[in-house]
Amino acid sequence: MSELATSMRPAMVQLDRISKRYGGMQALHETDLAVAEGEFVTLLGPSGSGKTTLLNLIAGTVAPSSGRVVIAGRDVTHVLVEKRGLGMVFQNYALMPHMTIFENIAFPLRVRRVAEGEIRRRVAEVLALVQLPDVAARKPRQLSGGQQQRVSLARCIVYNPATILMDEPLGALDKKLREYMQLEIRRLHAQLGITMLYVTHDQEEALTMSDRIVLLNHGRIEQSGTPDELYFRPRTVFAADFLGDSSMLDAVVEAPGQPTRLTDARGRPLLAAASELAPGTPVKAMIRPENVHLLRGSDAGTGLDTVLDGVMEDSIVLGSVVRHHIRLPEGGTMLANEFNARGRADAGHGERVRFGWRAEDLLVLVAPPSQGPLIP
Amino acid sequence: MRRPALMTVFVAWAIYLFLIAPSLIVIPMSFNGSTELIFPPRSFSLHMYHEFFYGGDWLQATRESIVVAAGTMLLSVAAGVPAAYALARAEFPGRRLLGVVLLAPMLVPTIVAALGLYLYLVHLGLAGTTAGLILGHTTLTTPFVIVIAAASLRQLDQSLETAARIMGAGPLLVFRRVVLPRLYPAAVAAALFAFLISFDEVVIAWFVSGVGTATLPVKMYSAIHWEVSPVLPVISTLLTLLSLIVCTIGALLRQRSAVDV
Repeated sequence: MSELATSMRPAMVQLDRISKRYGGMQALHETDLAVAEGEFVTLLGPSGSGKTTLLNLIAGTVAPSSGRVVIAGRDVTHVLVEKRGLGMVFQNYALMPHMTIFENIAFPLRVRRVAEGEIRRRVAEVLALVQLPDVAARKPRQLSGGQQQRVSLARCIVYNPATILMDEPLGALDKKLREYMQLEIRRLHAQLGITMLYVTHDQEEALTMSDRIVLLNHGRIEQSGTPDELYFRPRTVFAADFLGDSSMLDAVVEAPGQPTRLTDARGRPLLAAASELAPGTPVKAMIRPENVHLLRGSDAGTGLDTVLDGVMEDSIVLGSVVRHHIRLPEGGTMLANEFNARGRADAGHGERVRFGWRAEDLLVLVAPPSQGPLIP
Repeated sequence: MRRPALMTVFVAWAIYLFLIAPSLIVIPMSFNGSTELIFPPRSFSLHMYHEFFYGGDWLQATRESIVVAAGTMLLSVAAGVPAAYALARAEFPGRRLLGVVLLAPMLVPTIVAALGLYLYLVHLGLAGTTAGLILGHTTLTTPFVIVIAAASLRQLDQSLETAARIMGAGPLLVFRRVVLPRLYPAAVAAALFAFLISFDEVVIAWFVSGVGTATLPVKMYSAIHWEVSPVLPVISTLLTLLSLIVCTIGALLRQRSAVDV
């Protein structure tokens, strides 16, 4: 994986062939990862994928079975948690219930023996930064969940750690607040330029917030790249499936190249994006709903490379987008999105419809060998 | 919640009264006017209270008991609370075994422990001294302190300690600033408990204390043995009162901590 090519900036966090084994369970296989200074990287994956293990290895709360952890150029593999110079935001906020908000935020400064006047100035500064200027005298339980999480962010920002680690920080908040906080964290990141490493299982959150997403599955990095790369150029069926909606067709490679020629289960030719797989290889052909174009009336589908037909099952209005479910003759469903518009005329249930795509939008993914059981 | 049936309430109260009756009987008897122990008392006076405070060496024994109980309390909390923290949080080989060993004094029959302590303290030259008795009682009370502190530690959110460490706080600082403030109500409850156990304890004190260092229970026990002094109900009443006060303080603290933390 081209981790080092991602950025020419110096790596703030670097993992060399790090792995973790718990008894008989390999929580994390040998993994390399580099996070550039100032980067916002999200570790995304289902539960049990190793994302939290990875975060804990960096924090130092878990010791690796093999490999090295380097933070800001210093090998910290055997350095104690408290000497790593990191910050962390927890899902349950982890604010000290017996201290006021002021004392909570002052805590890391007191640990560092900062002068009292300086502490007062910096606490006031970060409270203003997270837009909670008036809560210094309160206790954590007097604040709402969203406010507590902002305090917990302020507590990290105040001592300017090398990297802020975040373990599903918005998991306990309701949807609206979560979306607001996503933007809030983005804003703080842009404003302060602190390196952030964010763990979540929520693909939308990852797409919204990240400079780069590291997708994990079964204790390995499945794919790493910008949100656009992961969304539009997933390399595996898992990646395509985990991020966003997609439709998959079973097919076999007829002739590799640009475009690739595929044959679907019923022998129809499909044109797909470039691939170098050998003829005869069974593949999954994946397409995003927004790249499937519905053809109306006598539309010949100019500009589309492949046109198929199916039976309209259902059309669901999602707001600005209409999602069509089209049943394919060989079974399975093709999803197609259209922009919503007044006076829109949808095909009725059971009507024959035609749809098509451009070759570069149908991605050729290696069909996964039968997967072992998911780690619960 | 369903209201308990009338019969259940009645039975519960009956059992409760049966259990508490011996403690209550001593109260009227302490105001007994005669020099014999008779129930019900035929006349009432404060004579026996006067006897307790000004006659004999009862006050000396009381003072000894207080010193021993206070010393035991401080020592067992100072040892037990950090021990509970280490057992609950640290990872080291033999942790489970150490946990069992530390709680063992609760399982050993007191008379056996008393004899062992006596022989040991004689060897150290501490038999018959106040310090020796404090050490003896500490072995008895520390397991209780550990159990109470451990129960409270289990309910403390460990991520606060992790958070504090990531922010740069070393283990001692984490214990002092993050764990101890939230453990405070349990530590006070454990301290009161240790005080009461030591104040009440008679077997170890009987073996270990000397002529000048007899505690109140030891002196009471000998008094029953030799003379059945009418001062005994007075002491019993005062002891009951002390337990009541200490338990009330404990309950109030627990209530406050439930609201506060």
